Amino acid sequence: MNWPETSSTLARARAEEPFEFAARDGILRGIFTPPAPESRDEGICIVFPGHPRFGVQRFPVLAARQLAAEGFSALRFDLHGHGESSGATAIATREEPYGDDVRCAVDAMWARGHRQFLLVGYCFDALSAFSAFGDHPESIRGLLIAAPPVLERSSIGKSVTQSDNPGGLLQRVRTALGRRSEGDAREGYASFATEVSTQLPKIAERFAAGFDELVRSSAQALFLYGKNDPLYLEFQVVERQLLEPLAPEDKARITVEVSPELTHAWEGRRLLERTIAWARGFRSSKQPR
Amino acid sequence: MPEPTPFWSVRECRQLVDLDGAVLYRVVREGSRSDGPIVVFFNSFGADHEAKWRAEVAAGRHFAEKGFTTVSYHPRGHGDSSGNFAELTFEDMVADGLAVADFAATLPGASGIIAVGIRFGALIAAEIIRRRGDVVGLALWEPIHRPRDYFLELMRHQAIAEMARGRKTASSESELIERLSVEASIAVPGQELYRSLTTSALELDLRAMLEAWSGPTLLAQFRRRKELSRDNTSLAKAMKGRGASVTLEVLQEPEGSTGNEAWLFTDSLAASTKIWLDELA
Repeated sequence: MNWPETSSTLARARAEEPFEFAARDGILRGIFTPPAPESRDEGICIVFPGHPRFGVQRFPVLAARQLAAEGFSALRFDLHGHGESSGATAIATREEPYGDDVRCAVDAMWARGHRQFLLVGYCFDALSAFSAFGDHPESIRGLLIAAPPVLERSSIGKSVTQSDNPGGLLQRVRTALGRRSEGDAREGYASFATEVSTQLPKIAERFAAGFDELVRSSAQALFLYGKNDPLYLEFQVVERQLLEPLAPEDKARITVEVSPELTHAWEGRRLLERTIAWARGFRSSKQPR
Repeated sequence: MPEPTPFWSVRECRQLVDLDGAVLYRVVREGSRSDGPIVVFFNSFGADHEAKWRAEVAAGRHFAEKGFTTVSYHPRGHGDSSGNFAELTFEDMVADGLAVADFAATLPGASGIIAVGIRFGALIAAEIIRRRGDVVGLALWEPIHRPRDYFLELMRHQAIAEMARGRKTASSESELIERLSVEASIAVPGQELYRSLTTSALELDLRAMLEAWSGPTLLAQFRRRKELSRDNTSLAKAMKGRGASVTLEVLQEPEGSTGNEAWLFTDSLAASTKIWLDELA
């Protein structure tokens, strides 16, 4: 993407260190970006799981360098089986997010003295980050979760997850979701699913558990979706079943942003800019330097 | 901790190094052979680089485990290196490749370079060969022969996606080529094509770039059909005509593949390239 380098981001690139740590499936490899010595150390480490660690047009690389120039530290790393990490390469599935990898990344950073964390991920990486949240609810201050799948696959049809822009299909689903009775919802899902499920759309247990942890914690979460992303249709089930019933003070920590013109494919630049702006909200002093 | 992959025995040195004011990420995987050629990978650009990186890593470790020292890097504007992708030119990518080849040539026991060109990286490898005299072998993985055709193909994929959304876009070849030279950037699936790179590479032709090459060559292709593509056939014929030893590998794609998945480029390619490397050594 077009992202002109500054002297401060180039300096952070020069300061970066290859970093590796042990996880269940072997050695995971990444790059650690230390905070700029001339900036006030924010005491927050941002963890970017990736497959690879520079995926989605390098947004984790550029975000890490920009935010490190502003006093954050960052670790971007390859999930197992991807990039330079060990382990067998498998097609990523919503059923098995790599939360253990993210937990080990936070542990490794903890061992180096970091105590506060932000987790940032897109799609499967986001799901992996979210599923690790419950292991460190006290030390993770925020999650930026972009466009993850959230439902049990068995409870939805193939078309929802495989089609890019199903057009009129979207309208039918929205109509279905607008209805409040379970029977209507079932009918609505049955109408758009290629492989009709006999079940109601069901939030993945792991996601629901992570959401419970999130509500119990004091962390802030930002969920990002494109309005035309079929996965946002899934998230609307979360909005209805998990988010709406929350107490206002809990709901206030959870933000959902939906970009009207986007599908599932986010441009790296948009993700980069949103990540940087979001992370700045965690600075000890939010005044621009 | 035990390593579950077969690559654990490989010793790696990962570095971020200065290169003319930029920072370049590179990794050396130490092979056990005390002397011999160093395998250097030249990968594709943009989203294709991202998609093929795992295959490069896996193959690099596989070859190192079998004794060959291998070197990988991220060109500027890619991966962990510095630089703005939007400003990148083909010459920049060649300059980075040359710097890495220079470095590889200084490694202990190095006696020449075996270049592995992956997709668009085949063109970089070809240019490295033109500018250096120490390349002793060339492996081409699903090479891009003419960037012009490749860019057009990417733009057509985008046009089809746009049409599916009810939007009309330019579709004739001349319209698309004009867009490449006029617009600062053009969205194609998964990335942007920036004018600096497209205009600097537009007229390249792999066969012409390799017209002086007659060294041992591996030409690997993924196709649903069993025959080599016309471009690969033509390239192989030209090289054989100059007395080059050309090994051809047609690797079958599994049903349902789009032909561009990262995992397709891993095991089968690494295995066939390893056999070729052994014969070369």
